[in-house]
Amino acid sequence: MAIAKTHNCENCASKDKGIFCELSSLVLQDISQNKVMNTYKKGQIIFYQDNPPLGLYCLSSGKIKVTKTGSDGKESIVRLAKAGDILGHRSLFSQSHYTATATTLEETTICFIDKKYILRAIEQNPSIALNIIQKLSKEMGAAETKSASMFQKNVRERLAELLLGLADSYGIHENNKIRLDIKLTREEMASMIGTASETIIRFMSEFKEEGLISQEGKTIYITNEPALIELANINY
Amino acid sequence: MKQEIKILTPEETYQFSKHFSMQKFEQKFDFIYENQIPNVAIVIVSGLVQLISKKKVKAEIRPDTLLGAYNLLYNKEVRYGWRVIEGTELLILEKSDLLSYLEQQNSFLVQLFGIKFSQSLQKS
Repeated sequence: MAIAKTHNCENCASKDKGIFCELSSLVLQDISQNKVMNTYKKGQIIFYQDNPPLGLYCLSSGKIKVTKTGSDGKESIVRLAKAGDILGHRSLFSQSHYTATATTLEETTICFIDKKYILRAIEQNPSIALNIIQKLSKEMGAAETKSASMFQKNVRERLAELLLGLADSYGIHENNKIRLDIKLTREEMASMIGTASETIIRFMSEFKEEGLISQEGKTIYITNEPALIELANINY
Repeated sequence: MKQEIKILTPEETYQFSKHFSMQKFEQKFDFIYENQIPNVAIVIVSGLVQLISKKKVKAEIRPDTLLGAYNLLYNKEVRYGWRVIEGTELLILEKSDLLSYLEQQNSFLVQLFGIKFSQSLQKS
C-alpha cells in the first residue's frame, strides 16, 4: 500500500535536542512514516487535562505552556516546553489520564507518535528510553526546585529565579544583556510562581528601577544577571 | 470530504471494536483543529462529534461513522475540526496499527478500506 511521504525526522532542526538523536537513518525513516506532523496556531490546545493519553508529542519548533487547573478553577503553569522537548510522556507511561493541559504560546510544530508505536520503538531502541529518563530527571529536578522555592523564598526572590530560569531556556545574549525569547503575560508569570499579577507588575517595575532588567515592548531583557542571581539566592 | 467521513454499518463498527480500543471522553474538547492532519482516526461508538470551521459548527456526526482514516494514512489535512462532545465514546485507530493491519492484509480492514478507499488508493 502506497502511503504518503512525511517530513523526515532525520531533517528535523530539533533532532539533536530530542529523544531520537542517536537512532539510525533506517529507524528514523520508520518513525517518520508512523508519525503525524501538525502546525498549531498560538493558543491552540494540544491535549487536555483529564483526557486519556493517545501518544507522545515531540516539539519540532515553537513553545508550549503546560497548565494545571485546580478544583477552584485556578490555572497554574507547571512547565514550559520548547523545541526538542517531549510532552504527554508521563501520562503515557503511568497509564493515567493527562494531569495538565498543553497550550501553544506561539505557532508551534509538533510531531505525534501513537502509543503503541512509541512503546514498541522503545523496546527495540533502548537509547530512546534513556533519553526519556534523562528528560524526566531534568523535569523532576526542576519541579523539586520550584517546590522548594515556593516554601523557602519570597515572591521577589521567586520572580528573580523565574527570570533566570527563562534566560537559561530561552535567553539570547545581545550587547551585554540577555533577551528572553519568550513572551509571557504578567498573569502567566504570576501563575508560574504562585502570586498575583499585580505583584508581578510591582516587582517588575522595581527590577527595572534597580537596573536588573529592561523592557522593549513585550520583550524582557536581563541587564544585570549577577545581581539577579544574588537576589534569587541561587547558584547558576 | 467524502474520504474524510465514512458511514459504517453497525456490524462494521463492531468489527472495528474487535481491533481497536475504545476511549470515553468526559469533557467537550477540540480533538483536532481544521486544516490539520488527525493524530489518530476515530470511529464514533456513542455520543457526538461536531465538525467545526471558523469556530462555527458545520455539522454533527453521529455513531457508526469513521473519521480521518484516509487523512491519517495519506497525511492529508481535514477540512473541518473535530469537537468531541462530553460523554462521547470513540474507537481510537492509531496510524501504526492501521499500517500494520493493512500490511498483514487483515481481511476486515483490507475489505473495508479496499472498498471504501479503492478510488483514492488508485489515484495515489
